[in-house]
Amino acid sequence: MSEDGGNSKNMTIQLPIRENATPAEKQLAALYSQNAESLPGADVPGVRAWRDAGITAFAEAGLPHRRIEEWKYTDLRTLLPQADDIANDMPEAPDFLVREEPDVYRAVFIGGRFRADYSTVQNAPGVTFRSLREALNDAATAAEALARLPLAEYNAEHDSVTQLATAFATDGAMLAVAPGIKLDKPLHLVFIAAGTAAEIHACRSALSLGEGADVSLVETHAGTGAAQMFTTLNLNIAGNATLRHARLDETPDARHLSAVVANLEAGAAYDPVHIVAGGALTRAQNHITFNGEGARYNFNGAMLLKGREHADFTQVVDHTVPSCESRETVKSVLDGESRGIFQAKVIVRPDAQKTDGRQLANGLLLSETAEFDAKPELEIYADDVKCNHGATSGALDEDMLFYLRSRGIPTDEAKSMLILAFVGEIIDQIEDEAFREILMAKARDWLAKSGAGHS
Amino acid sequence: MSSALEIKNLHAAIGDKPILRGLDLTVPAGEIHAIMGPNGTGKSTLSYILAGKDDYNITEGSVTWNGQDLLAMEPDERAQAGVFLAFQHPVEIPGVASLTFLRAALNAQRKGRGEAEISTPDFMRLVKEKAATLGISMDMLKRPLNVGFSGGEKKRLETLQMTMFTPSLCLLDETDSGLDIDALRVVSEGVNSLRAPDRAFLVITHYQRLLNYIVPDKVHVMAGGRIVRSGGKELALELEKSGYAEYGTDAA
Repeated sequence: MSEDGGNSKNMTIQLPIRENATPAEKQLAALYSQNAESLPGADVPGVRAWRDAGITAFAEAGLPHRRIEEWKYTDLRTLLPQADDIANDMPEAPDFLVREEPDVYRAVFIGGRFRADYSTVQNAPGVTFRSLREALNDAATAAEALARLPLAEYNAEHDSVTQLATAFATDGAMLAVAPGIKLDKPLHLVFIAAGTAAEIHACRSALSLGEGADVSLVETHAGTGAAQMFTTLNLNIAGNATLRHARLDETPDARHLSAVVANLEAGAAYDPVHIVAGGALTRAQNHITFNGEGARYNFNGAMLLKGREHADFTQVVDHTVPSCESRETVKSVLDGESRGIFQAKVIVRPDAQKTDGRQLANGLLLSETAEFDAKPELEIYADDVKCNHGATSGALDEDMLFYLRSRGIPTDEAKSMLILAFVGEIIDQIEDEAFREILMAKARDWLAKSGAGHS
Repeated sequence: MSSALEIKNLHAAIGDKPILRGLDLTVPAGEIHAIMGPNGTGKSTLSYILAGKDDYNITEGSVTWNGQDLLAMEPDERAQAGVFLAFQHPVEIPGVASLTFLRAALNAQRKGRGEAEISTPDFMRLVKEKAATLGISMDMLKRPLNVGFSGGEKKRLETLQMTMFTPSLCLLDETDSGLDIDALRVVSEGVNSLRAPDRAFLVITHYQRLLNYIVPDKVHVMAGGRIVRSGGKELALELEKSGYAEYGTDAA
């Protein structure tokens, strides 16, 4: 499906593929060369250069591996043995999308394509929305969209997620909320891994909040497709604006690599709650930068993993200015041979006095073979700061189990109660009641289906 | 069939270390028996073994309640059969609201006995009524189970469970520890309100004080992992005066 006029057909890029490139790296480079001409905006000035920069950086560095600190526990050279094809067809919407009508302003992406027919985001007052595909195909809007989706990220050289999402981006949500707007209903970004073929879905999205805006964002990644998903979300939160961000990843067969890059101005607040309820491979990296004083970031994450699932929350929080507060709390429920990872690096720059940073990681291991890795990292260059971190990991508490059983509650039910209580403390952080209920139900559902912890 | 707790020649150990060494005890339904004795003599071990904690090796002996072999039952099955242990140190369970727990436990016991679940209005009525008599506020019950509760609040909550679940065999392990005199009175009144011909109580305590409020039919002295002396309620007063010196201070 070519969207250009043919005048740039011969612009084949020479990629600087590194020596000893893995099969997946070679496949991804070849895929790009074959498809670059048919991706959105191919004949719009600037777009091709933007994509080329992504794939070139990727080809030079290759997939990140365990010796790159941010990827210590998620070595993509082994975990991503091969690349999939690019999604081409337009799959059917799954039933639940048609049925479910939550009270939200929704933007739906299926197989990496925006679906206006299922979306209501256009109705949100004070919010401008465009699909990235549309923005890139229009010479009048492409440059502005590209400016909001930079390649540079923390340790950009090894940021395969953003590199590949940029090279292959088929779509995304470009959202801006006007200053002072307090949205009455959440914005809901829905990404569906549909279809049965293994394929690449790449979406880059951006959301800007104007001064004093107050928004709830819900983001769900769902579907049973065996997709390779690359998604990024660039956030700009202006002074005194508040963004609550509840996210659910529930794509059991997908390999999902995602990045959030957020810039917070003075007095801004960003409160994400991220639940991973299964996924073959999940990497969620957050890079937060405080640009203005008195801003705060409060991340709460939970993972529910079984089998051989692998999930990795990696965070870099950069305090560049004084008096900002950052919190990262992660709880992992790990069964089978699953592996949960939480890495958080907090940088406190010389000017960032009165920084208050706390990290907490708790792993609940339901089997002997599950593994939880927590790696806090503090890089402090200021002297008047409060920073601490803690991590625990262990099985269900035997005394709690005995207490519940001594009250007549059978073992399996007692275990479920304790597991739900453990992740419930994260889910309770979600302000939107309807979505909080949905997530509690998901957690119960996960327990019932997985039989987690049941002896 | 006699309604009674019957413990015969019970031997139990933690690893290789014997704790109970041939304990015999019979508590008929309708009676309150107290076990007193020096610290470290196995009193709490006995209560845990009766409730089904599996940290112990039971090497010899039997325990039956109303003819049922308690030692063959899981802790939850024992609770469903009417056994209740009021813990010396009630366990804190973050993330589980006390009210949610009470309802789950009550329904699990009913289900185990083949009864229907309690309806929400009936449950709320029951909780409110029983909580009021024990001076427990509904706000407290919305908090996570025992988390941040004072010693007195924890013991009140144990007593609330006892009055709601109406067990037939009540085991009280050092219920008086950590209680001030007002809480002691409230908790004791809760226990006394449960006295009934078909219910047996085993009250474990180090001090005689509790027995001024919960008056026992019989008092047993435990030392060295066995019952070494039994008598009427006056035995408790005698022990208060003489102390446990003549019984030794250690199980070993």
